[in-house]
Amino acid sequence: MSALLKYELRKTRAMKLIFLGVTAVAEVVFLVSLFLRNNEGNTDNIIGTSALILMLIAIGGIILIGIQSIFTLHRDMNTKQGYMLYMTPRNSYQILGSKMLENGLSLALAGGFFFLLGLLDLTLLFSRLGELERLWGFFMEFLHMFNAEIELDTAQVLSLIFELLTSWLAVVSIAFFADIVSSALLNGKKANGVVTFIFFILLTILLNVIQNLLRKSGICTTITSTLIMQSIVALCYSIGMYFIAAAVMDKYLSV
Amino acid sequence: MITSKNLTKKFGTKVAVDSVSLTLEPGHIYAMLGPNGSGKTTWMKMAAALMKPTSGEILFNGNPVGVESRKQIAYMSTEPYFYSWMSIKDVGRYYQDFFMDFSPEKYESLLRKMELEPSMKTRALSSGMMAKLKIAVTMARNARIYLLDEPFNGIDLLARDEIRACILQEAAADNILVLSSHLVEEMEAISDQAIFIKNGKLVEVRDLEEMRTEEQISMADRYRAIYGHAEVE
Repeated sequence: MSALLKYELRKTRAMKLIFLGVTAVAEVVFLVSLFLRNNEGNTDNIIGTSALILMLIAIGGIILIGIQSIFTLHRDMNTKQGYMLYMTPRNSYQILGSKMLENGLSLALAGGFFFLLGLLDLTLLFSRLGELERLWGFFMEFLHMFNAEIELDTAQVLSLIFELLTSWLAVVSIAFFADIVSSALLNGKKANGVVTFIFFILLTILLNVIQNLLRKSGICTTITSTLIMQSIVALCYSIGMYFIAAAVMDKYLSV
Repeated sequence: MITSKNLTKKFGTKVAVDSVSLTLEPGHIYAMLGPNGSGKTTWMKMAAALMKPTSGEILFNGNPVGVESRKQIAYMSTEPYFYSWMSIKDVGRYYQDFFMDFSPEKYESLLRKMELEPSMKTRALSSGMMAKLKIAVTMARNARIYLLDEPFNGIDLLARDEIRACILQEAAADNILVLSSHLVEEMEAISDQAIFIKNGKLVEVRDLEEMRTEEQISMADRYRAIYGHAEVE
């Protein structure tokens, strides 16, 4: 499967390089404006804008990694380009597995990268702007007034990021499954697009229902454990989607 | 050996391949003939395990075609199918990564013969160059079966000569070559068997030499008789 994974990563390389380039530019602007800042805060606007841009790139990048994977799978099933993949002596489980793995790896790497970058930037920001740390303290006290559990410690932040990434991976897996059903079973049928979309929405709702039921069941008592439980559910759901989708692909897909 | 048993493929109400039963033996070059929409490409795609039949089956050495048969069946589609980001060299690397029977040396030699520059991007190739690349990378495999869909489509006479030479060079006693084309005279020069398909149905499989000696007719004559004069290009 390593050869398949290699080419799946290659297919999405261009977009990742563009994102990396844009991130590098925004980061340089952020760092330069931070170090050129004087006591009057002459570069505060630039610092704020570049920090906001970096945040948007992080969120947008992670969303786009998933969307690009869905488009790549769609192209591989519905254009002549798909011959490159399906004429190889690899089965549907390996083909789809490499796509899921590429998506999971890309999300994990992008998530880790932006988390570390954010941590570094926040540390630099606090060290340069002492008053910001005081503001952060006020913000945390404000949060405690509503929920005593919120600490925003490393464990909570990491489990939140993990939960967001695994949930997004589950949504992408559902989209994979819906697209495979559309291409393999509903191809050429009337209202294919509408049926596929409804199918996608229903499966996404089902995931949320399962997560909500488990959350309300009282199994998890802390925010961190709840987030981890939701991540595990999302991962199991993704694996389930993978097996069903690969089976459909194996039995019905013609390219 | 590849055997198609009552093979049928339907697209909605349209029957593209209609209960086709035939057996192709090693040591032959088969010309698969028929007008557009007669089912040649669909049959080839099913033989290459790219398309699932609606009913019937297709067997390679007694087993249904699938992942295992893809190791020994080399398929060349009539349409370009390489990833647009690939260079000619990347295409070779890709085949090397997936097919044990692919020979990089043979690929390089074929590229030289066909005057293709390895650094060129596939998206920048003309249709003639693309046709040569498809042939070079497919024939660089030491496959048991070569399925070549319209290998002479849209290319000039000189490129056609190169492709013909390349195909003939690979013909051996232990492999099967199946070529589809509208260029009947061209096909007659390189094949020894003809498969006539009409409206998805198999009309007949003929030995060309036998046809010539016993009935004193050429493949083109037979084609005219089956499909009518208007169909011959």
